[in-house]
Amino acid sequence: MKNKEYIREDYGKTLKFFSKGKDSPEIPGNSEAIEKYRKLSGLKETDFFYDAFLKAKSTIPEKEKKPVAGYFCNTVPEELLLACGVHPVRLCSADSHCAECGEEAIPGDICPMVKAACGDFFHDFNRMMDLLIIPATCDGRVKLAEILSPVAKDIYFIDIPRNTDYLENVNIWEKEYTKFFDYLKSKFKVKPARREILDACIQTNERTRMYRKIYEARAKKPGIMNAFDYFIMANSSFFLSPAEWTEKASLLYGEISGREQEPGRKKILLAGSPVVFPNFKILDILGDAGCCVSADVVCSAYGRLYDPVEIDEETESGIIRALSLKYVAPSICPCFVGIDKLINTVLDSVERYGLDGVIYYNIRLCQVFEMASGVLRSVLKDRDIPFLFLKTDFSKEDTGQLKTRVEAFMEMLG
Amino acid sequence: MEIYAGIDIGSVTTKCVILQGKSIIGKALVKTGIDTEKCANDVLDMAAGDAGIKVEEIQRMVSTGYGRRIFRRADRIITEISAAAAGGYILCGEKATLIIDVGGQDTKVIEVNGKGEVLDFLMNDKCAAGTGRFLEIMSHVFETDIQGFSQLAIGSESPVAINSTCSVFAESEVVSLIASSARKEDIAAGLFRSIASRVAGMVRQFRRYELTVFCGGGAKSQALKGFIEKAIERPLIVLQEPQFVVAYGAACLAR
Repeated sequence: MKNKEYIREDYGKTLKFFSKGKDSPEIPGNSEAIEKYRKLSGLKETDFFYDAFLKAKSTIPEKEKKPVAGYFCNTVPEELLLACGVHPVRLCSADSHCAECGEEAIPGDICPMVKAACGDFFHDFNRMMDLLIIPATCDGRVKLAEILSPVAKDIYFIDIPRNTDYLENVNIWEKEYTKFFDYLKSKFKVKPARREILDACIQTNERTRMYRKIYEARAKKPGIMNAFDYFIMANSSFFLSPAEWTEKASLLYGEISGREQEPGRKKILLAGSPVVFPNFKILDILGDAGCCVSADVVCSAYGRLYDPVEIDEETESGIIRALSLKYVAPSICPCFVGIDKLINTVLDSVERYGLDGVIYYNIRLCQVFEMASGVLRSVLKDRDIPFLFLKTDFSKEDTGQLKTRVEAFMEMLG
Repeated sequence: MEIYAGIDIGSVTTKCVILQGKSIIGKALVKTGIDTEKCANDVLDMAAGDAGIKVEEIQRMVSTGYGRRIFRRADRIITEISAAAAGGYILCGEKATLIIDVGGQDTKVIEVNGKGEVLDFLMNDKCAAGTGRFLEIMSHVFETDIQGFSQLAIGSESPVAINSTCSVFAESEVVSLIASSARKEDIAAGLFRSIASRVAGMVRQFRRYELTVFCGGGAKSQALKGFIEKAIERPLIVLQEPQFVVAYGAACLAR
């Protein structure tokens, strides 16, 4: 047998065994969490997003009536999938229950988000997806692609050189995206016209425009929309079509733009690891300590939705180049080279919105995020910008200690 | 003159300091038991007894420490970080720039400004590494208490290298060192040195540690003080009765 066959045949049996008894499409605890955060929301138009999460992924194939492709990370160009008539779903999971299940296949000392993504596959419809796309952005994801290969119908791997300072790499990203697009065309037997790719870019740009309005409104007027609502809204773009998301978000924008800010709130920037439902532990802790997350630069909200596609040349290769510049070049994920991008993004946000401090959230075992924190800390310290580093995982036992830190940080801000 | 109380409900002990104006008129310390609220009430009664006053005479009370929310009679609740900063700063004569607090459950390093307010702080990770609890567990391995353990370490001339500061793994490392017939003084010193280097690593993040105050239960250990001083190449100021500093700070903040 060849190597690949060993994985498919032998390891496949093991994975099937892990999946046994976990076929329920509902992940325990999620609907309770949705209702908990819905109750805290003072907004009417957030209901749609909470409802969307309740039904989440299991209803997608039926609702969209399209092939569905799942992907990880923030560097897979959704526009190319949309142009091929495929519904994209970002699968990055932060479910503690799934992380526990994932530990059957992945050792305990691995990033909980990787474990959760794996455990998610034992559970629900993920395995039924027509295609799974994994970019080579972090080591955990790369290995996950191989581990999951026996249970996914089809896997496509996008190679992404990680030096965003080296401009020659733009050509390689473009080549990789072109190869990916060719693969999609042949797999789904479609020949999208240039117009269809442009339309997809228009859809995601509309989404970005709406997101930016909400982002700015929240950053300028603290308290008009709480962090739970905000992340539920941003995270739901993982599985809603851009058009549907934009339509509902514009209703929400209408509702919040009429609201008055809460006086006397300190405005905090949240940076670091992604915040993904249902792991709102960090938001719970910040909320309990009276800390108002006014802006963020994390990849599950800002990093995903803030950057538009800027097309110089409306040819197919021109659009693909623009996509690689949207997805890879501005990434502030510490998996990429270019820590200065993270620092500049943080400094710009603090200055632009007059924020009072920065909280850097680190999911335990994501080493690159932790390594970057020291540099950021020292730069902010030199500029007298208050900074708090919080490292945690999905478990609850350190909640008390984390709360003490956040409360002390808030006391420090006065 | 007005009377204030500060109650520090820590993970190992609960402390109370009663102030009249700026001077301490009473204090007490009890072990934190299962019934934390009762402990807080008891320690308050004891401190009031020590001061020769009735609890009703206290104008304002501030609670702090990990159990700070449990004491419902408090007029104000603050974190032990703000309290340690205020207490350490005022007690050292208002000139400290950095406060180290080695407590039962965590180790904090706090940078303060010229008013004793927190500028920045660092705390150890969630496990017991580098805390008073770690020292307590290790002193049990040597069948002594923390003071005896500290004395043992002072007698060492060549501390062994100890790699683990995880209380579970360090214990097994220590057991195997004992079995390999290393001197117990050297093992004890190795343990203190490993904690001191963690604390020193936190201190060095601040760049301005000219005048560093050392408080919390851990500051009672001469060995720990010595190893931290060696690692940061600066003398530390250890306050009298260092475990009361946080409660004192809380009482000051009640003013």
